[in-house]
Amino acid sequence: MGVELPPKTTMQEKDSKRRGSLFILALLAVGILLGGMIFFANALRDFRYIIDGVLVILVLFISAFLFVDRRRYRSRNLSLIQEFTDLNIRFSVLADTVSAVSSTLDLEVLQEKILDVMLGLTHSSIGTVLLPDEDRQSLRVMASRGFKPHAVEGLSIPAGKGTIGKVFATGKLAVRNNLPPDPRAAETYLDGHSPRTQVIMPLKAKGEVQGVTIAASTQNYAYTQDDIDLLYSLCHEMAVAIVNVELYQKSQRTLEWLSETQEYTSGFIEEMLAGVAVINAEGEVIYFNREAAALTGLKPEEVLGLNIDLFERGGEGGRYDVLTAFKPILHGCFKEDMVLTRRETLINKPDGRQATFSYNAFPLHRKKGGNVGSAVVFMDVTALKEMEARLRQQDHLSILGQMSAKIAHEVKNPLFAILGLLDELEKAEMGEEQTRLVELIREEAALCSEWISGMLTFVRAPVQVGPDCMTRQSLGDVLHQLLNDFIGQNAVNGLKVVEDLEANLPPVRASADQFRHIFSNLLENALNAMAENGVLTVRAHAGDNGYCEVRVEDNGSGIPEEALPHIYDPFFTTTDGGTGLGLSIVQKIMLDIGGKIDVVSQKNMGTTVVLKLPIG
Amino acid sequence: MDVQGRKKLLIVDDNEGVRHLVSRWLERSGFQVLEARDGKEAVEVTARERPEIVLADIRMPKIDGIELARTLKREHPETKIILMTAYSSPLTISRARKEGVDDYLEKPFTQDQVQRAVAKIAGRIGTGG
Repeated sequence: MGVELPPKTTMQEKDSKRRGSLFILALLAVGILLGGMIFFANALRDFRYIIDGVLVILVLFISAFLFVDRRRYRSRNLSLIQEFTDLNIRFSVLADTVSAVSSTLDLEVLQEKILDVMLGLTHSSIGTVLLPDEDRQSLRVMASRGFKPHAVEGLSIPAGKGTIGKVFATGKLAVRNNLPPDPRAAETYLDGHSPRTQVIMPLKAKGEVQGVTIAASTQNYAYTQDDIDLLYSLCHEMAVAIVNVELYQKSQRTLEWLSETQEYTSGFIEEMLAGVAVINAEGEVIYFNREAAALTGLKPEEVLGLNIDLFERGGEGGRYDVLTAFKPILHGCFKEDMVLTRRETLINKPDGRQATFSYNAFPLHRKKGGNVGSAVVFMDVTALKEMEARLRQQDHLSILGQMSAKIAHEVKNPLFAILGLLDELEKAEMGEEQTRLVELIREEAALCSEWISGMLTFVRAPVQVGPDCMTRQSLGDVLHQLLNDFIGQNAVNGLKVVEDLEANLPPVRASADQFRHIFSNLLENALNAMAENGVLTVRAHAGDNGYCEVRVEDNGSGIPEEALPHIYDPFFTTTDGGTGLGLSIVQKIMLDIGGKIDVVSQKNMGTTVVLKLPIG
Repeated sequence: MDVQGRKKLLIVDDNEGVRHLVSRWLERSGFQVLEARDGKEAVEVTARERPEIVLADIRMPKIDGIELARTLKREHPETKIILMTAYSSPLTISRARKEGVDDYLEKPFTQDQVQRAVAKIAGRIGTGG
């Protein structure tokens, strides 16, 4: 850029002005002299001519006055024009500088432009821009001209020390003239000449020195106050530009960080294994993540941008039921400004299953106050709940097992003594009555012993599951064999047995011993429930979810509805003489092998036990 | 062995009925039978009477059968030990074996079963078995 200081008023111009004034004065003197001569010459001849002479003098005087005044005005106008031009030039220099330095948001480009302006204005060829470090303890050379690269690269100057450091510390410029020759000029400067004049300007803005710029010339220059003022103004503009660029860069960094953070956050929310649904103040769904879609069975595009009130329970065959369950929760959080944490709700899914959802819901606050919307974060915890229940049941059974073992031992030991001592007693001579009494004692003790054995069967229900204790046989073969053995040992009049076993069923994850326990208990229960002409059906087929399903159905008396919740409780029985351990044992084994058991029963219609056995 | 040349056998059980019954059965086999109510008493009787065979229940108050076996095998390694139990887990039985118990009887057992088990162990005495 070709900015230069405005031209100065010269001596020649001042001389010409003075010459003009002398000419006017001379003209006026000649006029007065001529008028006087006419006046006196005519006065001697005729009085009337006196008036002529006076008039001539008057006319001449007025003419001279007008002439002088016109020159004076012209001169003043010229001076004003000059001043105006001068100001205009300075203003345009300033404007050019502002436009040059404010047209970039790149700090490196700005530093180069500052150097352009400084060197152009001060007729210099050497210059640097120095900016402070973060702690403002030192200044670092950021850009330079006229230096050999190694001379200034990475150069750091302590703040407050030396002329440059002081300019930075005080904010006052320094002009140095008649600098002594630099002995290292050849290796420092590109053209090898020492600078003679140096202007060190603070770049000051916002009440703080933002940096320092230095211009040096190999010529001696005397800068006027006007030049200095202009330089100050320019440096202020350049400092403002530096602040702006730094602010811009900072805001850019913040924006980048925000953008990254937002990306990360939205990615996190999108990918998190919990459904997130957000509504705005109008009730429109403004966020609906992938898991929310999976849990509700609705695609985000079906929901986003729509008012949540448009979705109605039962609509389209109950497709919206999961989403609508959260409707009052979202509205409540928004309107009542309430936060709901660790809540649970039961929701009927479109497939008819009842699912347990846990959720946290909260209003979204506006910074200035009030709410902008509300959000709900939800998870389907049905499987978790089932697992918890199973674990509780297992725990319960484990404690029960330990207790049973203890009781069994404590009872079995004296029973052993009772029965043994009765044998000893029988060896002695006894009357008929005594023999009968001993016999009764033996029968009672035997009953007790049988009960204890049942309990120990429950305690000892096989638990180990591993490759060694798994049957390699097909589930169908195992069931067929067990059914045949059982029917053979428990012949019942008129019993009809139906086998509906899918061909080629895979082996399942249970040992032969576990199978025996499961099916002997289930078949025994079925037989006990049926009167004559009962129909016992055993069905088995492979499911598509890693399980084989086995159904043991009877058309017997069924289980009373009020008894259904207790059927797995150990020692709970609805039949006379039952130990109440059969289904407990089956359930325990099913839990151990990772299977599932379900009992469906209707009074006087029969009972169906559904087992899901994991495929081995 | 007592003065009549009978082998001494100590029965340890906290149930008096069991002690009495098993004593009767084994006296018939020609043993001099001693009795102790728990592990602590059994240690004292063993130290005093030096029975060749100790027949002890596993579940007992204070010192149980396993601990008793450990103590007796340490203090009187020549003593043969048979443990009996009404119910024990496989782990308990493994522990008993580890302590060097010579045999194991599950209650309820018959007169014949206990007599044969004890005779088998008695046959090893003095033969280094």
